[in-house]
Amino acid sequence: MVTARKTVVFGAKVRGSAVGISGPQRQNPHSGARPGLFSGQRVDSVMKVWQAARTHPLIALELRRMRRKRWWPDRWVLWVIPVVLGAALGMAILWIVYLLVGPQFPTGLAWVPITLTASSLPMGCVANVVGGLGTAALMWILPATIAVSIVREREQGTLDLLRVTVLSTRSLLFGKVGGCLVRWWPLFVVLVVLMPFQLVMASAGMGSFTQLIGMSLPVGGVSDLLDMGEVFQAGKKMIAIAVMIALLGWLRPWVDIALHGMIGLFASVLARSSNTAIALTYGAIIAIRVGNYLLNMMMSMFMPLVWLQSSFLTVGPSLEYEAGANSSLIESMLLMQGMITAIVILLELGGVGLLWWGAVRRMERE
Amino acid sequence: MAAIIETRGLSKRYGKLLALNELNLTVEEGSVFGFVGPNGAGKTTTMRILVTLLRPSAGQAWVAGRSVLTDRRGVRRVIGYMPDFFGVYGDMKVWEYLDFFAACYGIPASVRSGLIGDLLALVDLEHRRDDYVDALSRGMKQRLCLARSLAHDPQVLILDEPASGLDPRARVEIRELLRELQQMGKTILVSSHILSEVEEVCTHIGIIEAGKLVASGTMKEMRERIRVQRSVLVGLLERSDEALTWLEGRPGVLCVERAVNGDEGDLLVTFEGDDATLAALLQALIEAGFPVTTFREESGNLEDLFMRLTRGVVS
Repeated sequence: MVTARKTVVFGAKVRGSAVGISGPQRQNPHSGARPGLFSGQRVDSVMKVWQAARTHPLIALELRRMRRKRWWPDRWVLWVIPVVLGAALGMAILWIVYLLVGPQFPTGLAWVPITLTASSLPMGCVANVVGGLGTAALMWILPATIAVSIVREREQGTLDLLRVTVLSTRSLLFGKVGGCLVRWWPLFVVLVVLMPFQLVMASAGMGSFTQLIGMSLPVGGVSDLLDMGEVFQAGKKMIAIAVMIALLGWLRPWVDIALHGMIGLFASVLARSSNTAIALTYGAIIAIRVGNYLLNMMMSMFMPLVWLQSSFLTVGPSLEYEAGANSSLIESMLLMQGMITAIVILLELGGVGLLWWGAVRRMERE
Repeated sequence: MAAIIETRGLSKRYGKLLALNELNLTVEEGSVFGFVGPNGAGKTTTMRILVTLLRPSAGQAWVAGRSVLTDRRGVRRVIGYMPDFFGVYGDMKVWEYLDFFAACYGIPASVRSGLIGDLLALVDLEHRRDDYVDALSRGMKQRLCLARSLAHDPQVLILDEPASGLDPRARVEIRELLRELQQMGKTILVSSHILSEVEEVCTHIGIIEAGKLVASGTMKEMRERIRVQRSVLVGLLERSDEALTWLEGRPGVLCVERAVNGDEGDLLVTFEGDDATLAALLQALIEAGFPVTTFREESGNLEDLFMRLTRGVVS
């Protein structure tokens, strides 16, 4: 009896609303339209990616989740403050030592770097440490969140539901990665604000601290061979080289972040459980970092000068005196450093592309 | 009517296991096709191939004229798929869940809110609109999943074991829903390992075993098939062992076995032939001196056919 009544009620409801949903006489106007999403075509402009991200359902979902849950950190996060301050203090001490025993300023412009450095010292140190920690977090924590993103859907049984929608595989992966990225937006804001500092530091080889934490070892900067005053004195060519080294040194950690993230994505597509995905990701990242380190060591055997002045801050001065007289030698050494960094960046970008392609292909072939 | 789902020589091999063995399946437009078979027969594999989640090892399949091999996106647009588990995000509200999947189908935000209302009305979940998905009962989650699979107004619904694990009431609700959907003109392919679950709603039945379609047709055809093969219960006072071997050689008798839930000495005879042959069998039985207490034709139902077919008695 209950059943019968239920049927009647139900039937009435359906007849009332059926027009809105279906019926052979009414075609859904959207069933034939191509969705306005990131739909499998090659992305040829940043705007297109931005548009895709803005309208992507997976990213919208993540933002909605973030709005619902408290996204700001708990009180435990306060431990970051002593860490940042301590590290900044350490940096400051190193910097002071460097200034004391470091470059002599033979030219009339000697006051420029001293004043600049001294006045920006406290802020510079904090900025460097915060930037360093932030970059390291992106390098080492972000891959893990990406690594579980897809495999978690698989474990929940929702991956199949997403795969049968009209989202293309690329769009699906893009949305999952985007969903992981938007969770870090405060950090991205901080890093964008700090970008000028990081550029200066990268040019000065002071990116070392950032890169040390991230285990993304530097190939050196300008200041170990020349100080800013000397760069300006040496002329346009040297300035161009300094700018190039700054940009490359700043770019390097970001390319590392992209590479690590893509490793996480590939592991997530490959693995059948979250634990496997995380283990795979960290295994691969650590292997790459150790390999990178070994490569640096090997290169140093062939290029002792590059290695020596890139190994740490305080080694610079002695070298500088030897090389200082010959500006074309310095130029070519700096150029070589720039080239090596550029090659590493290109290789890593190649890896990023390959991993993305592999993840898409693997997902489609399932 | 035209075939809306068609598979030709569809095979799927997992390593050494042949999950699907040259399956030829045809589902007509507007029908409710019950896809029945024991666990592991290949139902889910077939469905996953049809919804483009799996690639067949060999063979071809078309849904609404689109090939699952070459026009995957086209197929996805015309099918609504409900897998055999609840794929739900627990931390979402009911309307958000539908909104999210509607967005994944590229339905613009302006249309979605109205659509969600319609879908919830259809599956009778309007009053749970703002509840978290986790708080729903099993039956409600299943209905929500069905609503999700309808978000893009697909022509074809592919439902994998929609009634499994549900209480009787929830089962009836799902069944009523399927009826409504058929009236809306949807073609529904619904799988089950229990035939009686789908028997009442289906217009067509296909029985699959070990990756092969052993029987397929309209309900009427399948019922006629039962009538061709009659099941006769023979009760004997004694000497039932002797009777068993004696009966096996008689004309029209396909198979004799001990009745599972009858008295001791009851035999179940699978018989093919008209009433005259059946009468002759009874006469011969008595003339042979067997003490017959019962001679009764069991009214066949589809479940029997299913049991016979899936044991390989008929193939």
